[in-house]
Amino acid sequence: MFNLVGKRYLFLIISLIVIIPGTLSLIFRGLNLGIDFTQGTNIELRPRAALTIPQINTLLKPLNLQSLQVVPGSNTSLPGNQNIWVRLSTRIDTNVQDAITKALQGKYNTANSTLSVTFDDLLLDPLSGTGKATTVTVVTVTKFATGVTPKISDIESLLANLPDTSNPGKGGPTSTPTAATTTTPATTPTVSPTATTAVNSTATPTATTTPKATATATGTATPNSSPVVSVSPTATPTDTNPSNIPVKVAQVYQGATTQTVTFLTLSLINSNDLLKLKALFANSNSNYVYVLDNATVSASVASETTRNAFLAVLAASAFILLYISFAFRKVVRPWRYGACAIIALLHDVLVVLGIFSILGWTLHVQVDALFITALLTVVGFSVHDTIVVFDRIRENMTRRTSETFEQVVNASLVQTMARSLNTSLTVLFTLSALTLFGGTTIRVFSLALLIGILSGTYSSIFNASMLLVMWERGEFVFKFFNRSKVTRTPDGREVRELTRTRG
Amino acid sequence: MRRGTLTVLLFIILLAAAAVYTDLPNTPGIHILGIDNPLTVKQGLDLQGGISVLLKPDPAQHYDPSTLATEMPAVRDALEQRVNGGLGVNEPSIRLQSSNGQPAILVELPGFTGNQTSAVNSLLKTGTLEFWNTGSTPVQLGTTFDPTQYTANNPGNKPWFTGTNLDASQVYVSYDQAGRPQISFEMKGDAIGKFGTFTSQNIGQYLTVTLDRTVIESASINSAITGPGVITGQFTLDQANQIVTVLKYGALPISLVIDSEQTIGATLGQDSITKSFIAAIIGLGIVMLFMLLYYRLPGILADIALLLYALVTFAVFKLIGVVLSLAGIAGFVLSIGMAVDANVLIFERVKEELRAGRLLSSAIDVGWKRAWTSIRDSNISTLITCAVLYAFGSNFGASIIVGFATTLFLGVCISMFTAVVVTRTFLNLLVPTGFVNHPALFGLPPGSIATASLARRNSTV
Repeated sequence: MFNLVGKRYLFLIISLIVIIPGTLSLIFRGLNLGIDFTQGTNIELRPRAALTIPQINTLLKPLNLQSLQVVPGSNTSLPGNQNIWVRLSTRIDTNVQDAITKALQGKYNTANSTLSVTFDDLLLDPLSGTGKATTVTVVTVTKFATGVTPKISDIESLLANLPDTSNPGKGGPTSTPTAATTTTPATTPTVSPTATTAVNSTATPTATTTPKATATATGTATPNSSPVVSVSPTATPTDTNPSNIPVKVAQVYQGATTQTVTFLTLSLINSNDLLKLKALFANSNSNYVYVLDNATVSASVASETTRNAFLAVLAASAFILLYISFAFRKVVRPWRYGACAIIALLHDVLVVLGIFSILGWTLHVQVDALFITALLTVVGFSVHDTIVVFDRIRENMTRRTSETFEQVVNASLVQTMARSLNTSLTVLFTLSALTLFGGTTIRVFSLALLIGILSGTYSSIFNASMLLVMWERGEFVFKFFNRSKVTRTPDGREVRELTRTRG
Repeated sequence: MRRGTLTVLLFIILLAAAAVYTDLPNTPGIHILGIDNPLTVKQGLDLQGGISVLLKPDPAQHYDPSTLATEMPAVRDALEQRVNGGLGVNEPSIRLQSSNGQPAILVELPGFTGNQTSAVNSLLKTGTLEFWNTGSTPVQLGTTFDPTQYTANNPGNKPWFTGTNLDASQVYVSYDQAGRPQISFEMKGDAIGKFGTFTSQNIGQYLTVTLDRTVIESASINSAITGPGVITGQFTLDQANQIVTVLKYGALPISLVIDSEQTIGATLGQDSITKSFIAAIIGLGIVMLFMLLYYRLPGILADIALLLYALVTFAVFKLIGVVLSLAGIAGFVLSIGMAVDANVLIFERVKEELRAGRLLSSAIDVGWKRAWTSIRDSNISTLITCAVLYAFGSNFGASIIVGFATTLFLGVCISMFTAVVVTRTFLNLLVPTGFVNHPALFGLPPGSIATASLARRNSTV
């Protein structure tokens, strides 16, 4: 027969090797909490045309959002064709913004609806052909009165005669790095005449037409001319800050879907990120977006839930201790069995928490709400497993009265070994099936359970019973618990107290 | 053959038939005896999507920011409890949020069909139940109650009793003689005595009950009510259930309005459902194969019991409406692995007894008896854990804990039945036939099952 009990220190040390680093990591680094436990950002978008989840994920990739969760949805109360986006030829100042708002609201405002007109300066790719991205203003128009379907041609004619704009980006904090690079000195010679005309003459027809021609050239003339020249028309005005850049509507887009895209992320999204996000969408098939909502959200698992789960486990432990003391009342000091079962339970919880704490800062494994469920499962399994072993000890104590406590425990462990391993095996089979075939979203859940079940099996065989023996022999801290020393017969064998009942 | 074995077998067959009926994908559902259960699988937000509602504090109430800051978390918890009812298996996602400093609550409910607006509106009822004395005049049901008209009977325009005086555990839907739904209630604490005194002093007067100041009941007091009472109203079953839910989980301290509402799609999609389904089949298959190879004949019986476990558990999930998210399915698959534990315990024990030289039938008897204490104690400790988790979860509004406790409890109970009773019944039916006395059927070497003469010496238990 294997002498498992004799190697009890080895088993204990193996447990400590896992638990001590884990616990230290838990104390100093904590767990890497996912979106279920911490606050994050919830953004709701209405795209121009419907997108699939993989497309959205690809689009959002450059923003590097932490634990992103994309949910497609639909909101039929806001019809798709009531979303209008107008791409202008340049960036505009507040003066032009007011003119646009006035023009649009003049036509579409009704007694009980106010049109929403918002302006974003986005760094967009040219409309056709290749070339450098430029920062232009995109007007988002929405909240039309119920039943009103705006027409692209109407919008175009409303915005046909817009006033000129000054350069709002000059020296402004929002000017993007790309805009800065366009002010290369190399471009100056080619277009300087146009620029000077624009600056010198205030509102002459010639002045307005010339920059207009160059502005449109940004898109169309690019393939023919060298890249350096193509950038120049917008670059030079930026540099010299003329007061009147003409504003033209480059393109009007109308929404074609009631789809909404909601995404949740741990990252905080500021207004700059939001502009980047809008540009990312707009640069992909001109899929402009309307941001319906941008909010900071709290955890979906309330902080008290975690604390309550913890307290519940403590309370459950107390009840289990009571129950085991009752169920094992026929052996001496039954509460020791309960105490050892609870220590084994804590062992398993600590192993799972500790390993996940370490995985959190090494492999960035985040824990989610399912982790609580996994931990609770481990708690249930651990006690279950330990009691089966203890039950065998209880039975053998009443039969093998001539053997020492160690021998009885050892025999019980060997007898229950097949069962312990088989039960764990069947659970591990199903867990492996889940991990391998069940998809990525439950991987944390499966992993936590896998670690927990392994630890539960280990602790019920190699820890709980060993602790009983140590306690019986008064080893380590247990000597403070033992009132009397182990009595030994003259030949050195210890005398075990007889159980109260037999058979 | 033992007495009763055939009765148990009959019961098992009926149970299996009922489970299969419930589990069928296009089951007609149960529509008898006032029960109206379509028996559809409710899929979680991740698998099926649902609706998403953004709730904001009612602007007409002009709550000040500090009140909102302190009360909104409580509102969130109350909503979570309302959505979950008692069992915690509805898997909503409820988050507090703030956009531009304005607090709001984002509620996502899985797989919503039917009348969404009415369901959401009932969720939003602040749920202030009030009891008024309206003197000798009944008040029209459904009208808005104006306390200033009844100042004489209600000092200070204050109701005599409110929903907080009710004993939440004693509020439930019952039926009158005509089978119409009504709401049974009981007062708690001091209110029991006060309600008795109030009713005895106002016999003949009309007691009017309002929910959010809408009259739901106005009936004359016939006698002193010292124990349970009923609100008969004119409810449909749905309405009665909604009111009970609102009463059970308390009033909302802040009244909310719907800011926006949208349907949301599944985050995981068909692909994930298929994958987890395959995982479940593979998991079940491996466990069954293992049991068969390791324990042979009893293994086959355990496999049948395991199938029955899967069928019954899934049927119960459908019956009580457990919302299955991917995690729920994973938990279910995991429970399959754990459900064979009792069988493993018993079979190991039977093998041991056979090796010790017992006769087959006595080995089965003794093995069962000895394994039973282990099964009992370990499962009772798990049930204790369930009970504590359930109590904690429902008292402190942590639905995730309640849901876990509910499903674990069901799993433990069902697996104890299938592994212990079902397997035993099959063995009892097989052993007397004499066909199964071969050692190989139990995974033992030849000659290890004792003949009758040899075994007699230690056949006493």
